[in-house]
Amino acid sequence: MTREASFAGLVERQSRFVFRVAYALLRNSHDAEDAVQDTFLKLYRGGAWESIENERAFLARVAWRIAVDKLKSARRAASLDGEPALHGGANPERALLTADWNAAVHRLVDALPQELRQPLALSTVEEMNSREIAQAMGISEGTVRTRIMRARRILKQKLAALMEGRYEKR
Amino acid sequence: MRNDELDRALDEALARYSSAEPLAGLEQRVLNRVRAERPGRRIGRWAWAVALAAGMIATAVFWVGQAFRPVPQQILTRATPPVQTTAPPPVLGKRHRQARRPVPLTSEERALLALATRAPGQAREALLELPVRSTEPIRIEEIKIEPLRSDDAK
Repeated sequence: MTREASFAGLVERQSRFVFRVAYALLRNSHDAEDAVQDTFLKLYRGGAWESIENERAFLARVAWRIAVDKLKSARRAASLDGEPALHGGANPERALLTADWNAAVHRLVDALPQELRQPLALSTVEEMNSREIAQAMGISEGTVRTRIMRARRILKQKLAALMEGRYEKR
Repeated sequence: MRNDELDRALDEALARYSSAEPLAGLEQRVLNRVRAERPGRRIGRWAWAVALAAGMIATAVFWVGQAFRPVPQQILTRATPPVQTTAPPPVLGKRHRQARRPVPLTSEERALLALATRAPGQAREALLELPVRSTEPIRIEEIKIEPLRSDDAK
């Protein structure tokens, strides 16, 4: 198999996975696709893809770094424009009362601190376990588990409080 | 809502958090972009830059070489010594003086000098006859060497 065909095979196998990793952080399809293209381009230029052992972990790490960089630059641009940086950051409680459950939860996740949101978001990507998340983020597996637990606890507390308020209003 | 129900509802919502699907043809778009920015194309652009730089360096080296090229030494022809004895030496131009350098005497010149030292009269006559004799074929008189006589032969 030629080098080109081998790389095309890698793209065919993993591009959707890379897209989901990027989307979990960026929450925008256009930005996520840009991140996917950047990820594979970086891989191709570097040439390291020919000798990687765990494709998913390696790709997740590269995609996560690229997505984080895009997130930072988007925040800088948003702060310069005076617009809110996060897509769902504006009043998630109101979204819970007016929109559907999933959208409200997603907005609450978006509003979490980044150190909690990122491992939680990666944990929602198909079949990504805490070990792969740890490899992607460059932190320990224990830290990943702790942060995901903290994030879930915060979400549950907020959801419970909002649900109680909602029922009380009724 | 009970805690386990809240957990289940949270899991369901989180499962959809990153379930977005890319637009169709993502793989092809990725491959197209990789092909568009293949190293070969980048090398092609670099090749132009390198060739241009090499040309400029070659031109600079050529001009520097021209500027510092050593002046070629003039081939000095050994002129026949001037015949005139009283006239002052001709005034040489600046350029000529710069080109003239001390040249070691040849064996013939040294012999002539020795002759002038030993027999100045003969040397003068020889020099005066030189223009005439220079056109004539060289005649070498027979050299008579007396045989050596040892003391034993006596």
